[in-house]
Amino acid sequence: MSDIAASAPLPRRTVGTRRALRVLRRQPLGVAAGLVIVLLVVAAALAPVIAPFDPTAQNRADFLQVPGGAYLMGTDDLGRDIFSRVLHGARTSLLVAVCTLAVGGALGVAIGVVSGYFAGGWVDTLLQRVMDTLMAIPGIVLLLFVAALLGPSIRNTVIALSLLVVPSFNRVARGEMLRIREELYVESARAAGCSTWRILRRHGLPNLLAPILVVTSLMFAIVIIAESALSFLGIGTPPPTPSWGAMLSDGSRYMEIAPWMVVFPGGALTVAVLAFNLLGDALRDVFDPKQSR
Amino acid sequence: MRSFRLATALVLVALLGSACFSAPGGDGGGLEARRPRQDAGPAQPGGVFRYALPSDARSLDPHSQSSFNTHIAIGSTYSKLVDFRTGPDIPYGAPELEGDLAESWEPSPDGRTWTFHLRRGVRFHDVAPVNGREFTAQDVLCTVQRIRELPGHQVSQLAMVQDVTAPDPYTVVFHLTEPYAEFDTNLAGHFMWMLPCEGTRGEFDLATTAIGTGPYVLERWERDRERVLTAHPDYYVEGQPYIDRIEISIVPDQAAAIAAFRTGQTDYLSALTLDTRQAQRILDENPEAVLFREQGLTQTRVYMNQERAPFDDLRVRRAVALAIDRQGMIDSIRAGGSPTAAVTPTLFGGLPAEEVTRLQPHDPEQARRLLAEAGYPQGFSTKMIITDGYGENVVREAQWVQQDLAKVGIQVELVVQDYATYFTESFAGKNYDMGYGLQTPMLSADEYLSGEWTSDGPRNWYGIADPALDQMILRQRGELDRAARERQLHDIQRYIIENVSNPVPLYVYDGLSIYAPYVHDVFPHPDYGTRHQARMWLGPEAPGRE
Repeated sequence: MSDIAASAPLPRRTVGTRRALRVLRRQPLGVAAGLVIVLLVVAAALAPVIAPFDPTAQNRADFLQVPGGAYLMGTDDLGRDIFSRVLHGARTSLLVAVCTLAVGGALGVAIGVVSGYFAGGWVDTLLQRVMDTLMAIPGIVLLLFVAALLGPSIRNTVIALSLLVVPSFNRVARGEMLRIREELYVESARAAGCSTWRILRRHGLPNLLAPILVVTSLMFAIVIIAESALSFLGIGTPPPTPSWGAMLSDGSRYMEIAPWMVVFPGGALTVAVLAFNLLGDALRDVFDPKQSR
Repeated sequence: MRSFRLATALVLVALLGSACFSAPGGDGGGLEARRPRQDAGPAQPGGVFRYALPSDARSLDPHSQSSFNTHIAIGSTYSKLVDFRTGPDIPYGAPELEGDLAESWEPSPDGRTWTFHLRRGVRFHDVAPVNGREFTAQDVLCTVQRIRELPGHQVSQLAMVQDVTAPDPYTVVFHLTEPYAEFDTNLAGHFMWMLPCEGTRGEFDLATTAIGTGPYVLERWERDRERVLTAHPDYYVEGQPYIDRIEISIVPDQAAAIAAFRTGQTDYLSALTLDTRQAQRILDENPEAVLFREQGLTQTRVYMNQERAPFDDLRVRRAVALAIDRQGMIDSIRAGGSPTAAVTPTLFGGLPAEEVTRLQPHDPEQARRLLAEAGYPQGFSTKMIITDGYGENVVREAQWVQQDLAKVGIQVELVVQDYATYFTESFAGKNYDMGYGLQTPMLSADEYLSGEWTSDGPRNWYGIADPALDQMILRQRGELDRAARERQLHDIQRYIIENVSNPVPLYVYDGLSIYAPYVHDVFPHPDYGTRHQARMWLGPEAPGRE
């Protein structure tokens, strides 16, 4: 096997590699965004190793230090190293986002699939009206309500944000399921006497994975922003846990005296959100059958 | 052309970068108070005085709420019988009294009977159902009766009153159960507002309305949004108040409050809003602005619920007290201040700051030893309630305390609550393990001790029950010899540090407040009242005059 591959490498490329190369050529931005996200995940995962300081340690001789020297991004109003806080903030943001999308996404997809398969029935009507209600409430109001009701903590932030993302997943999953259930392979499965559960699991779910992946990427960006907004307002991540939103809130008081307190967490937030948005766009194009010839 | 544009952009970015990352000007250490100019000339009436506060009152009823928010909200609407004298020649926080609704007063030689002669022709605000009628001794009786019927901090201020009578409409006589030398100071206390009988009888809702005899009429109160006050045309001081209208907006966000001042939308920044660096910045920008830097009476406190483990153990409470680096906090977070024991050092009977520091040093080693003795060699985890209603500095201080406690092994989780929940449900409801916050600046030693450290103290929200301490506190109340009383007060505070260690007072701090240069004759007092606003006036250049 190996000598064949070595002697004629080009024509022997696997389908996967060729496809990857095509994506790279057509979606350079998306690939770059993907790399940024990988970098972000690595940074978040290795934050305790990379960060020069404990993110909550107060270096009491060094309040509001200018970036440079021992403090790559300066220090905040309690002498905490901003670089370490931004790294650990990525952790908080990603943790909240992943948990939210896991919980909210699973719930939304489950509801959407069931609802789509039984479209027109009372189950569908009931589920969709509940979703309509959730969607009718402006996102930030819903978030404020739930977060204020439950009190500030990371777990409660996840609960609040999950409620926010459920309807989006539900709508996409339901729409896809409406299409899938008319497909011939579902017809034949039904004719062969497969149970509803089996049809949903074997034929439904795998086929709506692509659009769900796109939504997930786009929702990632929304969730990260929403988490920051909640923390900014003081009802998300409680102090002193580093969170980009809370750092922005602290820093906004010193915007003119110590702008580095907002510039770095703000920058990190911008880059993360942009990356997830670009990745989402790229994924959509890649999965779009009209675009892949 | 293209390269030129690129170069311009690069230069702009570089400029912005250097502007962004240059060192902040000044560390705030050199902040000197700028006392107001004395020669501003005669008062000019008119105008609107506007300022922002970070949080609002839950209710306006002075007997149901001891929160500062309530009392500053009604502080220029109601009057007291006597009040603290303030003025250009009187130091901030001086204990001298002057008549407010009482023109004069005198104790009997044995100190058991106090007679107050009321001012004649004092009129209430012209608001239904009181409708501007005259204030009489009957209103004093109504108020005293209501204070004694309801629970609350103010009860202890009148605990020594046997009965109160009104021989005629302009005379009120208090008969005391024991000689009490500072009874007039008690009547000048934060909570001693004189309400109309209509209010105490329930003819209007004291929780949402305030109809008094003070210089300003409460025109509108939208909770958590704004309060609007207008001048009382029949105020008993001829010509006062000078300012026509006061508009107070509730702005929880510190940056927004400061921005409003800098852009001339407000005329005053309260001490709750400022820290040293921000004050420095504002003064650099606006050299005309007037900085007030005064050591207040407000104590910062760490407190523990003794009804819950592990704080039922004195050694644990003592360890908490020893773990905290007070001086570091004062130097880093506040503009200045001094360590304090139970009674603020500037009050009569307050333990001197040096002794407080000696008795209660920063000693993490000892703290760790005490924790080990108490059975917590590895420390423990607990939760601490705080509120952002006292401004952001308190949240910073709480994080400082959190780190100090972590160093001796006590892992504290901060629970940030809104002010009303924090104060009423959690703190007063004893629904907490630990807390950090500010304490009401009491105006006499006895007020602190009787209110918080006696077993049945109305503000003993800590579960303190120490019969020996109760005895000591009771004994000093009847002591008429000043020197002996001061000794007793000092002993009580030493006893508290060593045998109670809860609540742990950390320090009183220098408050910074800034007035716009056109605000004249500002002579406040650390008590919660805002009667001094009657004397303030605005220069012709004030934006509030448009």
